[in-house]
Amino acid sequence: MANPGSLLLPNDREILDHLSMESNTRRRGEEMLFRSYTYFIREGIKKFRLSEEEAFDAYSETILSAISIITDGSFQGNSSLKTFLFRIFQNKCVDLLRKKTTKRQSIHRTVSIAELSQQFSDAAKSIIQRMVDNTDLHLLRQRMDELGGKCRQLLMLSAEGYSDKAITQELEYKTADVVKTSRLRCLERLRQLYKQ
Amino acid sequence: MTESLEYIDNYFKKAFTGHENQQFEQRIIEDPAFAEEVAFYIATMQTALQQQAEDKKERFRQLYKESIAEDNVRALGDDDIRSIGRKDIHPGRIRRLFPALVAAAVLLLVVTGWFLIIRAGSPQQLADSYITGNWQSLPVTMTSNESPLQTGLSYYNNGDLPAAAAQFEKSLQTDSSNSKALEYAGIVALRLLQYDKAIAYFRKLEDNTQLFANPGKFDHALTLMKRNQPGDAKAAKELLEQVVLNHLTNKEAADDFLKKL
Repeated sequence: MANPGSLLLPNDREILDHLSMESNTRRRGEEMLFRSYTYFIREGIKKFRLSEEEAFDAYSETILSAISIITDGSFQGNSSLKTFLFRIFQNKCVDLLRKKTTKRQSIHRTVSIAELSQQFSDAAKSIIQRMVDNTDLHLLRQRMDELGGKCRQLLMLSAEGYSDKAITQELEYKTADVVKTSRLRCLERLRQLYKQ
Repeated sequence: MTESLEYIDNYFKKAFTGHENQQFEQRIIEDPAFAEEVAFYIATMQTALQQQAEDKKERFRQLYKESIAEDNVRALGDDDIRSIGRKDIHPGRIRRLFPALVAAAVLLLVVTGWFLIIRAGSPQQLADSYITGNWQSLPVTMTSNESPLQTGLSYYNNGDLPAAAAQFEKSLQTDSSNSKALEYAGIVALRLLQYDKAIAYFRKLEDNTQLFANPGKFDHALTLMKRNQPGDAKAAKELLEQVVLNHLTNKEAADDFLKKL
């Protein structure tokens, strides 16, 4: 069996290096990853008989899932990026075909409540799960849009796992403390808007 | 209230010790109001991530459109383009090229159709269409001078936008009023979706009254159209009207936008 990482190609390593960083470098890595295998879309059209839009969706979802797996450190490098991505892509295409028949939307869930509350005990988890289920996510989404660009960006980067220090550079704040204060103010404002 | 949020935030940012984590969980079980705040925090993060994923997908869509356009050009190939220009084209060569030409033509039609649809759309779509049509590459001058500006242009045309941005900024550090550096730094910031930064560069460019051709105002308007926040479309329209009235650079394009906005 090959050593972890030995099957990676030089281009794979470059992409992984970029994705391990924060801020603009990570974004560049995301774009490099996307650009590297766009021909999968043609495969999706040919092999799975998807429309171009559907194949694009499946490929985008593949890249988003791969980014999550890579950035949280779960990708061990036991295969090349191409093999790793193609496996996800095939599953996404199959999921899409299944969901097309049941008319369900969106095949990508960026984060589950279970992931965020995985460190909770079962008792705490079930309380939180029930309360999140009762949250009006559609309204929350609307209220988040009302917050304005800067607040939205702050919350999105923070949710994606960017540290306050990295956000300082990304959004040109003076210090990480200012980022944290602004972020919490945005959360508070969102809370008030949601409660209205 | 903010104190609770900070406390919750610290927990999820893993700032607590084992004992503090236990206390946090215990409070969820014992204090329903606190549990509700934790649930709100999680729902917010979930929603923010969903939005982030959608934004990324939109960025990927743009990249995909760009790659289709590049493939169209590549399908013809430099040699083939040269041979099409010659009179002595061998019939066999035409036959060999025929499938590629047909595919390229079909793709071109699809892309053109897509752009035509976009042209009739929102300010953001109009801006996207302009950016795709005009700013995929920037003109590089034939010079042996390896200035940051030229290096930046080279990075830009190779698709390495962050590296291009760094070079244009380097150029501005040497000469903060360099109009070309301001224009290019603004364009690259816009393509990286750093709208505030792009607007700052274009505003500075607008302020230069010594230029014979100054695209600052038009580019500023385009950035507002692309950003498309509340009030942006109105502000963009006002800028475009100024471009037309004062016969500034890109007057025709501004006029065209005004008809569609």
